[in-house]
Amino acid sequence: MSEIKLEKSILASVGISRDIDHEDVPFNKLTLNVIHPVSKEESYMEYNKSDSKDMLIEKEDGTYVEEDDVKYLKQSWEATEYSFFLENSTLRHAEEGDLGDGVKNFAVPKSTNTYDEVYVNKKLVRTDYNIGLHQAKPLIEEIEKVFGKDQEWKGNRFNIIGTYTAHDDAPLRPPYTHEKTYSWYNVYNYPSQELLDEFKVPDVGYEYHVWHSIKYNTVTGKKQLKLVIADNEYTSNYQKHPDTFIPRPEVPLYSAKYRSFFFAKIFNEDGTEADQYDVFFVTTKDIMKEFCKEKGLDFPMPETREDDFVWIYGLVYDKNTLEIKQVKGYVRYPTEEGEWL
Amino acid sequence: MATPSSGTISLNEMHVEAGGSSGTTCSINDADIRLIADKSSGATASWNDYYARAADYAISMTTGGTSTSSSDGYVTTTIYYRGYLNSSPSGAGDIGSLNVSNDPDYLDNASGFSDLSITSINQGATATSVVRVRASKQNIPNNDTSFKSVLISSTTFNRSDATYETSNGRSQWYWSTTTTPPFDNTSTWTPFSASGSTTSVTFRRSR
Repeated sequence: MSEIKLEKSILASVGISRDIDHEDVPFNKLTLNVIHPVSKEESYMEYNKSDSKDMLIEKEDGTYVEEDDVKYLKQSWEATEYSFFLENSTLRHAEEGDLGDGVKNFAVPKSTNTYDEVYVNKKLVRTDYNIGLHQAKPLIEEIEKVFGKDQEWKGNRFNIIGTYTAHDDAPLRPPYTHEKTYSWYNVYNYPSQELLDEFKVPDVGYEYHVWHSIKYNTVTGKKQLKLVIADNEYTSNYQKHPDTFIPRPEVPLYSAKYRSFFFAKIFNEDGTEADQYDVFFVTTKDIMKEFCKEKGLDFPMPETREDDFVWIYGLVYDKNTLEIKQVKGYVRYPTEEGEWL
Repeated sequence: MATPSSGTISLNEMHVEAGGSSGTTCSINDADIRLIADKSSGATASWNDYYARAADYAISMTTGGTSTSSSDGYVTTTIYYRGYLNSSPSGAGDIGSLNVSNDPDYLDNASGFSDLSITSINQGATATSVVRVRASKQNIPNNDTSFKSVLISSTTFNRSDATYETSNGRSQWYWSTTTTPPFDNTSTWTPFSASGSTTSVTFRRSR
């Protein structure tokens, strides 16, 4: 761990400033200059007495701070500001009919004229379309050829359907074995007990998010259920909750916003779960690129798309070894196509 | 205006700043003069204690309440607000009102506030709150010439306990609290009163 000797300067990337507290006792404040990850506006920050005391190292020859602490503060601020930017630019208050039964106080996308591209190893691997777009119709038809009308596909106007991109070097996400795997996302609805029973999902008390996906493999004729799980005390504290703990690999610094970090598990129809888990988080391009470089992983986005706004990153990892199998980046694009729903 | 920050200072200057009329009889032990230096009756004081002091900046707020929904990807949560918001960068709509919007002796005479509020952080068992003062001026000094503490209802928030940030035409101070939000738009949310009622906010330079 290396330390940075600090100087009194409001212009320095990191520095100190003298102040007095409410009892007129002098103290040093840690100061930072940070740059917004999207607007590139500069912000100047001074930490309070308590936080500054925790981070500053007072020595005879001056005041120091751990370089890692500064990095943590800056990256955490950047990731959180990035997530605020995403939500303010893409979402609106839900209106009547937007949300399923029992789902309250949620925001929804401003438009249904959107599709998501998923990138891995700089390759487009999957495209997910809003259920109302014309591109969704042939995907539904492919599923129905094998599975019939298995779901109320358009039960929510924000539902999504997608499939894998068929080209030579587009990596498939394990455990899927064929690009003719179609993913239907039921959004703004909690998974029903009937659905959980169908896939024999054990009731361990997980807090599920308000969307889930059914994966249809039209080659094998098998279905899988992907459940999205909130990270909370039950999933993160092994000592207290060993039965519900979800092991996770090291991840980059991500947004401090509530629930910007979560997991997904895939269940087969016989109740067994796939060895590959997903962990999702919101962070900036620069933080993600640095993480990938440190871990020897491929940054998911191609150079031509690096400046597009990735709204979430995901890591596919082996639940037993924690080895990261894939790094995914999701980008949402508007489409000129009209809605037909 | 505030008393001088250095040099000659007269008892009359202290008295005027404390709210007295210039040239009227007063003593250094008068309650109003002691208040601007935060001195108790009969306490020892030096002239330095009266430098750069100002009478309190008292605001009467009609408390407002609102909430916004926000998401990361498909993940959504609701953020609640109580207090006063005016073109807040938080994205929430305007709420509440203030009887005065600025004081030349406080906050570098900023023209007003975009936030004088409490906001929810997280939900469920980990829910906490943040009290925020966001004034409409960039690079307001983070020292006692801006304010030393702010009293909201009966709760004191010391400036030195706040994290300070300035950018994009604004300066803000915020304090994390363990107060659990009421998760509605109307109830009392300490230190703010219920929506539609009055919350007193007093900025102070002496204490």
